[in-house]
Amino acid sequence: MITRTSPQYAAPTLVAGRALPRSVWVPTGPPVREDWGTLRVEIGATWEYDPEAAPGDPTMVKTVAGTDYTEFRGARTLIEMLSWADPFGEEDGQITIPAMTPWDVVSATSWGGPIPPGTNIDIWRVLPPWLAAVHATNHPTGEVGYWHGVILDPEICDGDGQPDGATYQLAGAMLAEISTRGHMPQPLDDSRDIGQVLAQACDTRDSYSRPNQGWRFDFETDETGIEVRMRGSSGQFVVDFMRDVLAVARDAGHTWTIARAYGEDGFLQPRKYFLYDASTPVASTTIRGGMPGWQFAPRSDVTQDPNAIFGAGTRRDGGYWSGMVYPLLAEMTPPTYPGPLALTDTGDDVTALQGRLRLSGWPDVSPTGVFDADTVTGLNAMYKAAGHAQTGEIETEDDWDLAWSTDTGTTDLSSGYRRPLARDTTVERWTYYADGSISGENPYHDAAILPVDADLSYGDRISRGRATTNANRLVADFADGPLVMGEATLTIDPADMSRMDLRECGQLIVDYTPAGAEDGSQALALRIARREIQPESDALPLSMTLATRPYPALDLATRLDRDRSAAANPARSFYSQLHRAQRPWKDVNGWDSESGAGIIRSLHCAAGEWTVVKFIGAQRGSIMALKANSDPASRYAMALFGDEIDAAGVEALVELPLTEAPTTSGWWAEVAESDLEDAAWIDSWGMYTQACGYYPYAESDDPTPDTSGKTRDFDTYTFESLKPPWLWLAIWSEDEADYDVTMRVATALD
Amino acid sequence: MLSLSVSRTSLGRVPLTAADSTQVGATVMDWSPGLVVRDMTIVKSKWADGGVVTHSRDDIVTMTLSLFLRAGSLTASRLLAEEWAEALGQLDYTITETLTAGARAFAAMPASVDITANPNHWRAGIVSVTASIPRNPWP
Repeated sequence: MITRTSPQYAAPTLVAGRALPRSVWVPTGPPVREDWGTLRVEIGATWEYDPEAAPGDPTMVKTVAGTDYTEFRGARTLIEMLSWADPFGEEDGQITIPAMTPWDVVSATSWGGPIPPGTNIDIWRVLPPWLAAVHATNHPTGEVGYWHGVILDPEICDGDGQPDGATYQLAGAMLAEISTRGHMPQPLDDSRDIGQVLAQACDTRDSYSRPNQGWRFDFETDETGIEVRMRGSSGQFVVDFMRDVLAVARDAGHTWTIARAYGEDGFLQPRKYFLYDASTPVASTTIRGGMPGWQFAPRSDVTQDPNAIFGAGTRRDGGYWSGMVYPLLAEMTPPTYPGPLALTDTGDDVTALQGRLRLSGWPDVSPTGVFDADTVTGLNAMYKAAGHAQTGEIETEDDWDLAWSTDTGTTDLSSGYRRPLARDTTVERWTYYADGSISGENPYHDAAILPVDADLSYGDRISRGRATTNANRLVADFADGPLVMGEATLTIDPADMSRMDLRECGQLIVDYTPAGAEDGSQALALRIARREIQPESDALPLSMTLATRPYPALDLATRLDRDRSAAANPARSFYSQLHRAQRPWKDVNGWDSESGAGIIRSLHCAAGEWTVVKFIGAQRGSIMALKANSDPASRYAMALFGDEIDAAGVEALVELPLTEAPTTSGWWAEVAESDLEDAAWIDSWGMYTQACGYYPYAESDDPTPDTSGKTRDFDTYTFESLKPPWLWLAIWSEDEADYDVTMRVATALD
Repeated sequence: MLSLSVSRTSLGRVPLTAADSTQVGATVMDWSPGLVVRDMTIVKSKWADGGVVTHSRDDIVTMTLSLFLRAGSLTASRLLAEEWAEALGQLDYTITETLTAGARAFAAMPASVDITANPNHWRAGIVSVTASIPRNPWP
């Protein structure tokens, strides 16, 4: 029988000038003692999900009882260790059956004898008589769930001096199965609630169209209100994917994890797990620091408390982002202030604002002309970056000017620098305009605080906006107080319960309040991230990993590790893999989605002549895709140059690209190679009988299709600019038209 | 007055007995049921006086027994000694101690038994047996 022993101590009196004298801290009464019960080992039971279970009832039902292995051949089974962790509950364990011999385990065709690997094991708590009587109705057998999982291989020894019996390693019911099942990514890449994503990863309730092999646990999900677009993960198993998803399963005030389910009577529902908002601990108990049987060495590490989070990732469409801003890229005069703008407003001024937000680093905003939710998000992100209240609307002319970052000087790509996705305002020295230029001193800056940066890899298929949301939460979390963590051991019980009943995801408040101070005024509230008991030890120690924050923030260290591995194998997008013909520069990560490279908007071209526009490219890199549209639809030709050129210069090379038949494969083939080299010609599109503006058809089709004004090219062209970062595009338009051209420019950083 | 009874259930035979009076059969020359040692787990604090007992457990004890066996002849005494050695070698058996004031039973384990070689005793037809008998702490 395991006995609870809860000592009683009042708050100690501290004496000035000395460590706590022993005489001022004595027990206020004898320890409270109470029988807790014993453990029973059942091996080989069959469990099934019961879809008919009434709400609140256990959903996993034991359909075939197992064999009682509390004793085997008269010798007691030794439960050497059991552990639990956040998330996924039961973690691992070890039992020894002393009377199990090689004659039981070894056979010609199998291994394990009466307990083959993979057998279910259920360790029950047998309630003491006084407690069994209280719960006789709900638990007529007098036992309740305690640790449930799967037996792994027996380890057995033969030979003099070798240990007796067979030792079995155990793995928790959920953890064992999700660690051995391969993850099946969803075929569709769409945005779904994290609850749905997790449920589909370990579909225990057949809510999912693909056949599954049945699980020995039940997972009840919930709606988190957080959507993700994750399909794959850093590893190949379901557990890897679920850990990756849980790492981002947090938003304001909520941190989701997967925990074991308990009934209303406070006892475990075996093999049932649920998605749980860990912002409220599952249970809380207090112990008095310093009491007998309590060993704890908490520590805090300032380097694990970053106050600025940098990040990099690749968007769903292959766009690479790393938080770059280019303060001096484009000097612009803001359009005339149109008056206040807010959600649902429409018009050209909204389009102009959206275009500006895109240019200043918020590419998730689309210039639709409607002030939509994305515009609010982008505007607030810009406001936040600038240290401005996040109102989500334009209220004054100053707000309007802020978006255009007036007075920023010259124009230059080399002014680019990397900004954190989120930074605590106390370590931010300046306030900024939207484009990253400095607008002034930050009044909240505190030079006494040590700036600590962390650089996270957000990986594939995550937008900068979502990563920024995550980074802001991390920074807010860390600003809550330092991460204090440590290992603790309890060989005695808290005031109100047995240490055997402390729960992972639970909270342990360690009260160091001295006599005379306000109750609880000096206390650490710690989360139990992992716990382990060793029932065979006389002292029955409970070892715990405690931390002031729940799991996902702790996962930062994991993410930093992942970042290092990602550096060796950069995340690549499905989209860019499909459309990229070659990777000419070894350090190209994806196309630049932040500098505005390759974007030309509303270029007005007169009929029958070359029009040249200078646009942002890169020092060197590749154009991985090109899209051009004319309005109205027209026939046209285009040529791309890596050096400054004007219309007359292009005309000197090719005067009329569409209207005269060249002698060979195109006008550009007629031009002397040295002349092309001098002009830093990169490539051109459109020629006689093959004009641009017919996509998805070609002018040479029979019959000749109508002009669509569109051109698409998914080949890759490498380039080097002679006047970095600029490139020049020349367009010869047959009709007067406005042109929009978008090129996906991958910057080479070697 | 002291008498001892050693059960022989696993051998399918009646118990062997001994007493502390000189007699034909087994005479108890020395008998000690042993001291039960209580292992305790006491947890302590860095700050508070003393400690708190959280667990206690009684350990295995070793009893000692010394007998003089008189069976009428040296050969018969030797045979009786083998019988005692066999009885004390059982895996599970009970030794019941009866004193004038009452009785106690001990859950005994296989003992280490010595049939001592003493020519002076042999000349008197006596074979002496000494045993060291582990037992569980419960009666």
